Amino acid sequence: MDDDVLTTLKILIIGESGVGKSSLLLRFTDDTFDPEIAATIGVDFKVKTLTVDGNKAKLAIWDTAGQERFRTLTPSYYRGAQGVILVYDVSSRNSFNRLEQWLSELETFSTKQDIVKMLVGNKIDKDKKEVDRNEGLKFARKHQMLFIEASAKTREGVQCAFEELVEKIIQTPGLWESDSQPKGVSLTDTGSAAVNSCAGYCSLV
Amino acid sequence: MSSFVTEVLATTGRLEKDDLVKKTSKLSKRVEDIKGEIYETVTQRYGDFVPSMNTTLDLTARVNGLVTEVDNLNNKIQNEVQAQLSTSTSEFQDLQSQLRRTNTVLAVLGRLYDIQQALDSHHNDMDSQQFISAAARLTQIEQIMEELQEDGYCELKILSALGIELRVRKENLIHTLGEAWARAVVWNIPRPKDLSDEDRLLKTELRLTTVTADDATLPGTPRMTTLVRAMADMNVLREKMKVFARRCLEYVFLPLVVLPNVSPKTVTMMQSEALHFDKQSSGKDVTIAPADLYRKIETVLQYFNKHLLGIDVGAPDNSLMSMFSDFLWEDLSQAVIKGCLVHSIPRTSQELERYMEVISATEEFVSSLENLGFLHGEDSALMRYVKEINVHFANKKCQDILAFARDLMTSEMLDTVQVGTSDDAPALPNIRELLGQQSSKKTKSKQDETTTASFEATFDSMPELQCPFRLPVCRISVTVDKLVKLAYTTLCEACEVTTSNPSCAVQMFYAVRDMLELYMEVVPCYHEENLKKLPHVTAIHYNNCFYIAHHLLTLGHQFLEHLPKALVSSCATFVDQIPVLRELGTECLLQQMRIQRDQVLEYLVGAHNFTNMAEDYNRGNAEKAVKKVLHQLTHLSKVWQDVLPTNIYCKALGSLLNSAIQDIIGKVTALEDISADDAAQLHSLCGIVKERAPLLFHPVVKEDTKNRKAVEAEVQLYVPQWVKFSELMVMLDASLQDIADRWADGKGPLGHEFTAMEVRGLVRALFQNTDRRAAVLAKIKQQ
Repeated sequence: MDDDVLTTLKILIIGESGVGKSSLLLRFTDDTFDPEIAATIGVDFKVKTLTVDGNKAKLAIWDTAGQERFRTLTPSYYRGAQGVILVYDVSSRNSFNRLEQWLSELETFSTKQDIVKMLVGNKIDKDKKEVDRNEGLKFARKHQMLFIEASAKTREGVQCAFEELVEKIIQTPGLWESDSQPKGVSLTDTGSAAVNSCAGYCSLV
Repeated sequence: MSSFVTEVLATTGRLEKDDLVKKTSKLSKRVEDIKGEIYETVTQRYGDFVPSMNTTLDLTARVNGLVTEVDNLNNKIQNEVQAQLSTSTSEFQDLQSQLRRTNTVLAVLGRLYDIQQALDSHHNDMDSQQFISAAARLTQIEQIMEELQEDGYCELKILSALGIELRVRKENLIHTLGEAWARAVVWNIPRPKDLSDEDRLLKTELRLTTVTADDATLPGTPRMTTLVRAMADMNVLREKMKVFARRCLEYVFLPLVVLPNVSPKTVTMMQSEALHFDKQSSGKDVTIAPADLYRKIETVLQYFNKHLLGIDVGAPDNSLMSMFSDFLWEDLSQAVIKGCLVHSIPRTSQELERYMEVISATEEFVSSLENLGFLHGEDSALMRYVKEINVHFANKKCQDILAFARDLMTSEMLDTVQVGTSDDAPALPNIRELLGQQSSKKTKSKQDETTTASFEATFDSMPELQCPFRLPVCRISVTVDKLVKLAYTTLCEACEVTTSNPSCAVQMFYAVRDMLELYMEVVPCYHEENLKKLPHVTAIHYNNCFYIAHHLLTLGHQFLEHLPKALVSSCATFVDQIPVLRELGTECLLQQMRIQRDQVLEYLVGAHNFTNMAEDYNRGNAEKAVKKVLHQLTHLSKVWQDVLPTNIYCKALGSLLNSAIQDIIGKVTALEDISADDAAQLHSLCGIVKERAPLLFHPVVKEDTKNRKAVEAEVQLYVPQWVKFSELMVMLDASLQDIADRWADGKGPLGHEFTAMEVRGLVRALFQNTDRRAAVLAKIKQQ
């Protein structure tokens, strides 16, 4: 099985409705594309294992609904997320303008201090472009985010976006190790779990 | 010198010698004089004095004798004459008292004679029916007898005998007078049995005799006068008038008040005047108009005045009419008020203005009664009543409002009407229109109107963004709709009468408040059973309460500037009643929800904790239980869907469904062993819920997004446990790997919904104890 997995990372994909969050995920996990994909209801979930720099990481990816009416459900999903992919549509100025709000929601609900953020400008395959690459870059810098432009349709930049994000998470000290190694002794943890976590720690070293 | 002294001395001796010679001659002459004097004196005394003294002594002795004699005589006279004098004095006194007694006896006898004379003439008067003089005689006798009594002749036998005689005569006279009265005032009253009130009155007749045939002694003098005066003299008039007044009240006036179709009529007959009653065919009124009643009463009183009560009894301040009035008026005016005026009190403020007619009619009536001498200008109860018409009007008005409101509250709640849509606004009374005439600044109100209109337009143009202050679309009882309208119209009327009758306006305002208080008390009590039993009624009641509360938000302010100052400066608001009403509605709905939840959980007990589902019997039971729950919820959805506002409907059903699936989740996660078959059965059972539960929210979803997933999303919004339930279903149908993936170190959806303990428990129950299971279990731990 996946005994050799270094860690499980919780990744969240957020952004305005219709910017292509689900398509990005589908392209990344199943390498498919559905132009008629339905709007996400509540939340979608996928698991994928990814190897970055020889480290195998299991990604638990939550694809949230962008529609306003389901937003009341989303805040709880932020809990414990280590990485977040914030998506906008390069052909929609509005989706870019709304990024501030998304960031503020993220900051409000995320439980990890140094959560790694990746800004993805999707749909670069489209002719009509309303948001310039530099604008995206500038915004990303301003908020200390990774940045990439991608297209779920043409596959361009998708894999890279996830890999960059995971790499950065793994490089960030204290963001993920604590998940595998409980601090102190938890009375509720069973013995076997303790042994296991110890093994995980050793393999890292 | 010596010569001088010698000279002096020489002269002195010679002088003394001359002097002695002279002196001695003088003295001898003197002695001779005295000798003659003494002789004379002695002779005088003893020659003249002694004989006169002897005579005097003799006389003295004789006078003494005479004095003694006079004393004796005096004593004798004193003793004898005085004794005789006292005897003669007492004799004289005796004679005097004898004379006095005789005189007194003579006087008494004279009085007795007078009495006898009076008795005799009384007898004659009685025979000749001269009642006045007969009465006067008796009065005279009585007076004399009183005098005699006062003079202390009470022990006279003849007096007591006369007393008895007097009493007999008196009684006799009174009796005779009574008989004469009865002949003069004839009542024809039908027997009360088997006759309606109206027939009785129609057959009632009063006949007053003016002159009797046998009144020959004093022609021309109306007999009644004699009779009445004699009665007045005999002090029986008041008593008679009292009885007469009672009868008039009972047989004439009270029926006149009660029966509007009967009117009095006087008929002149041979030597008598009769009072009849006629039936007027017209009119089916239940109550009589005040003016009509006044006319009838006046007719009767005129008749009395003309033929009986106009008689002068000789005492100006105590006429027959006023005596009659003393006994009659109080009861009569009460009867008029209760039987007639109470019904004439107007119901609307327009009628109130027309009520001036009744007031003036009453004034005329009272003044004509004063002309008759029936009233004497004192404050009559009637006038007082009609002048307080505003108070009565307000009382009646409020009473009517409350009675009507109560009728509405106690009637069926199930008749409903939809409210909250924008086109129901005209259904409410347009306050501005109602108060339009009063509004001083019409331009201002017009401006308001346009502002409001533009607001409305704004709201209507944004159907998506519902105005937060607008009542959501829902259904309320028709009766409550009427109740709210009643509150509006009542307040409008209060505003109308603000200037003319401020206290009435205040009272009406409080009547509306009272009405709402009444609602809060009556409805939960009166409909208690239905509110508990029928969820439909509960939902309507909930809406009713919120609908009323919604209107109360502005109800006070809307009318504020038109209500009396006193009210405005205190607190003309209904805002304080809003929380109570909302609490009332909410509590009722919550109670119903608790009942429903308990019912649902009760059904699920029948699933026996979902154990051994592979067995047909158990599966049957569980399926039945789940279907019961779904059926119950579907039923609720049917009765609540159109009634409750959408969001309340979704919340209510969502929380009930949540309780049900929470129970299922709890029971399934508690299972210790689930065979593959069990899991399959459980999965299909949960499938039923997953299939049908979203249908509860189906109508809520907008047409354009009506697909399965959209509906399910709606369910997620209102049923917090729905995602957990879905995850449970996934687990029931999943492989170990799938579960491990969805757990994903607690970062997957499983970890999101379940605790590690729960997942491990389920994994142990679902899978056999293998190394792989152990490996998976090892991974599932609380992060």
